[in-house]
Amino acid sequence: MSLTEVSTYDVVKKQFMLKFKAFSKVFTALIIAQIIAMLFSAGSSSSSGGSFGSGHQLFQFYYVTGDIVFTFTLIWAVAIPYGLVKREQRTIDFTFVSNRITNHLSNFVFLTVMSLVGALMAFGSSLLLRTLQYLFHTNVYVQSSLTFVEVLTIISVMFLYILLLAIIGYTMALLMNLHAVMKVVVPVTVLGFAIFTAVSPIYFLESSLFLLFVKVLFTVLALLGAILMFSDRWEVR
Amino acid sequence: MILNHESMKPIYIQIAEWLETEIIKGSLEVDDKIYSQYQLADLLNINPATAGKGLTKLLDDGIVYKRRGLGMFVTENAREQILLKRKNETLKVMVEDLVKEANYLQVSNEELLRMIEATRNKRGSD
Amino acid sequence: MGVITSRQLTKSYRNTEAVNQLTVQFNEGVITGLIGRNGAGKTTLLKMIAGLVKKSGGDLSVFGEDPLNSLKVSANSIFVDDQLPLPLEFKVKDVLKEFERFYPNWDIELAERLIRHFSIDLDALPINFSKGKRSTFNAIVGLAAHAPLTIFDEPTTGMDYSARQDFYRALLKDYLEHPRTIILSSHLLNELEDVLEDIVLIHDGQLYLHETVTSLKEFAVGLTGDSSELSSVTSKYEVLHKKDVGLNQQYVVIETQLEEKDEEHLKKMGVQITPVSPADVCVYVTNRENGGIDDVFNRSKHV
Repeated sequence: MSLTEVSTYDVVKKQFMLKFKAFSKVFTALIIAQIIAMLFSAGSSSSSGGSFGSGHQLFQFYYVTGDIVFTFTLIWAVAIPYGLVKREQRTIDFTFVSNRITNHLSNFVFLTVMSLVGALMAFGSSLLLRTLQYLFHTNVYVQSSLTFVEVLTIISVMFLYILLLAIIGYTMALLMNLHAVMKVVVPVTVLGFAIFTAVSPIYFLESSLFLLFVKVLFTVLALLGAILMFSDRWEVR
Repeated sequence: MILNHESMKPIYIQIAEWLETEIIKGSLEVDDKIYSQYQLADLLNINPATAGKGLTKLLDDGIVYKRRGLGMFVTENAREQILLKRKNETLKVMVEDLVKEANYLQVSNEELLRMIEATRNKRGSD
Repeated sequence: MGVITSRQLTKSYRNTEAVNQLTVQFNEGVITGLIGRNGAGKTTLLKMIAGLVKKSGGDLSVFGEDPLNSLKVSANSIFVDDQLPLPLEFKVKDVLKEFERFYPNWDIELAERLIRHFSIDLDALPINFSKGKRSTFNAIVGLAAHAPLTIFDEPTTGMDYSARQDFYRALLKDYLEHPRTIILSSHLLNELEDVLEDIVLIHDGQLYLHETVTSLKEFAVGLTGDSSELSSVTSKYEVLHKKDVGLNQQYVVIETQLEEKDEEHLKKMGVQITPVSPADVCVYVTNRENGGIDDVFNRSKHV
C-alpha cells in the first residue's frame, strides 16, 4: 500500500474545520455571556455602559475596556481555551491525522477566528446596548455617529485584547493540565501578576493602536513559540 | 473442508492433504487449476500465508506446477504420486501402529489378516 | 521487511518501565498479533508506534521515521482502541464524514455496509453506545480507513461472540482485498489465531518471542498419562507446564517436538499426545517464573 504525503498546512486546515464544527457551542456561550452582560448594564444607570468615543480626543482605549459587555467577552475568551485543552478534547485530533504541532497550530487558528467573532459580536452588542439605553434613558450621551475608521479601530482593539486573553487562557490551561496542583497555582499566579504588578497596564493603558498591536503580536508569538517548543512534554492519550 | 484445530497436524498440512484427497477422488484432474492462496484464505477463513504454505508444500512435492500469473495446476502424475506417498507414509504408519497394537494384544498373524479381510468384505469396494 | 523497528525501546512511568529495552520488528504487509498478559506493555508499545506517547529511551522507527510528531506516520496509520475520542455531539454520519476528509484511502462504501450489517444508526451518537457497540463502531472505522498501518488495541472489548466472529471475518476479507500491515493486540488469541500470520509475545515490557503462528503451533506438545512414565521421558525436555489430572495422571507440556523414539515409547505406554494452542503456549511461557494459579493455593509450597 503506497504511503500518502501530507503537509502541515493541509492538516491544520482540516483540523480547524473539525474544531469549527465540534466547538460551535463556544459561540452559544458567547451569546449567553453577552446577554448576561447586557442585563447587568441595562439594570444599572448610564455610567456603567461606558462609551466608545469621548469629545475632542478621538479615542481612548480605556473606555473600551470599561465596557461591561466587553469585560464579559474577555472572561469568555480566557475561559474557553480550557475546554479546548481538556483531555477529552485534546485527544480528538489524534483520532484523525495529527501531531502535536498541528494540534496547537489549529487550536491557535481556532482561537484567532474565535477572537475575531468575539470582537465583532462585542461591538455589535455594545452598540445595541447603547441604542437601548438611549431609548429608555434620555439623559444618556451617545455620540451620534462613528466614522468607519473609528469602528474599525474599536473592533481591532477589541480583537487584540480578546486574542491576548485567549492565548493567555490557552497557555494557562496547558499548564493547569500538567498536574492537579497547577490547577490552583497557575490561576493564582496569573491573577496576582495581573493585579499587583505593572504588567497589565502595559497592555490595557496603551493608547496607540500600533503599539498595542506590536505588544499583543509579540506576546502571542512568544507564548505560541514556547508552547510548540515544549509540546513534546504533553502526553496525548 | 473443515479445519481440525485439535489435530496434531498443522493447518497447512491439512490443506495440502485435503487438496490431495480431491485429486485422488478425481474432483481435480490433470491440468486443472487449483484454488489460489487468496481463495483458500477466504474459503477457510485463515491467513493467506498459512494457505500459501499449504500450496507451497504441494508445489515442492510435485503435485502441482506453477504458471506465472495464472496460478497453480495439477501435474500429470499427481494422482500416482499421492497414492504412492500415502501408501509409503500414511498407510505404512497405520500398519505399523496396527501391528504394534496386535502384538500388544497378542493377536496372531492369521487372526489379524482375517480381521482385515472381514473389514474389507463388509465395507465393499470403497 | 520491517515497517516498524524498535531497538532497546523503553518507556518509563515514574519508577516502572512499561516497555523495557524492547527490540522488535513488525513485518510489512503482515497481520501480527501482539500478545501478552495485562500490564505487559502492549498498549504502551502500540501508542508509541502510533506517535501518541513519547519514548523514554532507545530507537523507534515507523515508515523510516520517528513516529512522535511525524505527520507521515499519523496520516498513514490508524490507532483504534476502545476509546477513540470523538466530539461529543458528532453523529455516526458526522464521524464518517470526518474520517473521509482526513484519510485518503477511506472506503466509505465499506464503512456504510458494515454499519448497516451491525445495525448501527447513522443518526445515533457514538458516545451513547454500549461498550460492545462502541467497539464495533471503532473497529469499522479502523478497517474502512485502509491505512497502510492499521493498529487495533483490544478491538473486541465488550463485543459478543457473534460480533467478534464477524469482525475477524471482515478483517480477513478486507485484508485479502487490501493487504497492509495490521497489528492486533488481544487476549483472545484462540479466536483469532487463524487470521494471524505472526505472533509477537511480550512479557514485562520485553520481547518474549516473535514467531509465525504455524511454528508457534509446533512450539510445544502436551502429554497426558501416567506420572512415572511421563517423568522418565520429560526429564530431558524443557517442561513448560505440569498439572495433575487424576490419580497418578499428569498433563505435561514440553517445549519443542518429541523425538521419534520417545514418541513411540510414550504411545506404547498409552500416553496421549496433543497439540498445544498458541494461546496456551503464551500462558505457559509467561507463567514460568511465578508458577500457575494452582501454586497460589498450594500451601505446602513455601513462598
